[in-house]
Amino acid sequence: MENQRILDLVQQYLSGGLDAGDKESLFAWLRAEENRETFVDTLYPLLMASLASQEPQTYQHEEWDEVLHQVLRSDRAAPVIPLRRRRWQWVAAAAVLLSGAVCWKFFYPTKPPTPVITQAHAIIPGGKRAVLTLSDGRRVTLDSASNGLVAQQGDAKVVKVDSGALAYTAAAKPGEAMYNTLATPKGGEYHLTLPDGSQVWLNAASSITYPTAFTGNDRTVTMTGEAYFQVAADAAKPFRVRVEGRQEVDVLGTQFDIKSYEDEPVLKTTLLQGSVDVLAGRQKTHPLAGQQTVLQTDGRLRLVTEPDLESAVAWKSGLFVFKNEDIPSIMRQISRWYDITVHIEGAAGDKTYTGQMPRSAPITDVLAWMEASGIHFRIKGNDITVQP
Amino acid sequence: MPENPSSHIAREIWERVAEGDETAFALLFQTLVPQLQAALGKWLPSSEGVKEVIQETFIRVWLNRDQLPGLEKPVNWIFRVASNESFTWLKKQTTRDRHYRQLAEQQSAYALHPEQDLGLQETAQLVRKALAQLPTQKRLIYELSREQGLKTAEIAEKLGLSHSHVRNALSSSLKFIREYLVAAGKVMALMAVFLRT
Repeated sequence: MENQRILDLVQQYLSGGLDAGDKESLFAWLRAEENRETFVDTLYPLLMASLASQEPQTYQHEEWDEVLHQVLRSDRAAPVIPLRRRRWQWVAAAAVLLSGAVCWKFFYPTKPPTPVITQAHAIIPGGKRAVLTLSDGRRVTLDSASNGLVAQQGDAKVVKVDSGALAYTAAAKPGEAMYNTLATPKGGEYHLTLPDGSQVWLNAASSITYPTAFTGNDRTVTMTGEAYFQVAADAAKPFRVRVEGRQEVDVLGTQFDIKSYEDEPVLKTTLLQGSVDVLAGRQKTHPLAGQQTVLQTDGRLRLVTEPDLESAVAWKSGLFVFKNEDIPSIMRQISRWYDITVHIEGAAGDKTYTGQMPRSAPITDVLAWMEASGIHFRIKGNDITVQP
Repeated sequence: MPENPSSHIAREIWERVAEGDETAFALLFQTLVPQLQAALGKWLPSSEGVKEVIQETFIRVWLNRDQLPGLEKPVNWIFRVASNESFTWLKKQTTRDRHYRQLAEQQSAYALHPEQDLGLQETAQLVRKALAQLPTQKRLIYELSREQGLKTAEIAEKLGLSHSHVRNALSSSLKFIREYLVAAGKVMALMAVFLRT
């Protein structure tokens, strides 16, 4: 039987629309174990294709937590939960108390969860929000703007192509360059296409200032916060990214991430592809693809040959990835995305944590994870205080 | 095929799952299940079916946990297992279908062969039987890992063994469990194609 036809029959059968004759053929085919490979070879690529193109989905605790529980019991000798509660089984029980919040933890809990977490419902994760400042100082809030032409800057058109994406069309004969600034608030992220086709992904609490047309000998932009660049090749016009007063990156057709938040101890430039020169003060470093430069507080520009690429660009894939990070570092990331203010009391910042979570996770999940990891806190509106 | 970023799993997570870390497995489960559910739901319009397929898939992932870090594309392998479990589930449906059963009673041409309908309870029972057959030290190591939740390093210290000895013991116990299940009629997908070169 033809491969695709099998799947059609399966779908018809499951929807109840298969007549007896076809059902017999289908059943006979399915009962033949030798057809297993053919079926798998047909379904597998379809599943992978669906995976590649589908929207991110949310995990439904009520639907799946019990299944997870059962899976983990499949190789347990004792069918009954022992008196000394297993780490994450305690966590699963707690998850029910916390109205569906999930707990991911890597340490034993020291205290049962507090009701504090339920107060945090008003805090939402970030989204596609930004403000565009035009050359005349006029400000356009992009979240609420509809798709299409947002503004005209000289001969350049500024178009909102989709929710979260802004693009500049190059004018045929660019006149005098005007400067625009795209800025994300805490909890915002945005995608920008520059007039030369270069792409920029802005993380939360970041900004980029750029000319509406690259008329000069080079293409220079200035940024704050964190941005990921995919620069269009143009040997005649080098692309330069400046972090005012601290660093400049000279680019040759490439992909890299610059993390320059003022409240971070260091400025990190991670090169994924291509070639760049990183200049800071009188130092110049030429990292290779897969390497990272770190501008330290003492002014020294250091090269890291084997950086953690995964955590450096996880944000662009919609994930938080923490690897041996202390609480202050984790909370800085969380506070930028959820638009909260974090205070840390006492020696709360000693232990390190490893884990990951989607940026779409509600704050209740994040806080439940921290609580279960032994991190305690209190909440007042948008203020979270981490306690020892 | 370009990777869906929502299905990305950090390297560390696979390694922790291989160690038997239930929390890391929970994280893996919570990340992949929604994606797998959406993809499967498109081709198998039965929410019960999708649930069973996912459960069986992840039991297989868990029982193959020691092999996961050795896979080039573990997410792809999981989806392949799901495709395999989909066939198994559909096959089971043929025995559950009342009309078909009636036919079988009437005509020997449709005679049913005893199907290996390994529900969850049977799988757990078989695993327990397999564990009972392990040599003492291996069984003890497995118990310390699963019943007491000890990490491999902790087990090694407790028993005065090397870390790699403990890891190998757990790995060979898992292999034994898998072979035991295969012998009992449970189909387990081969990983060969997905291994890292």
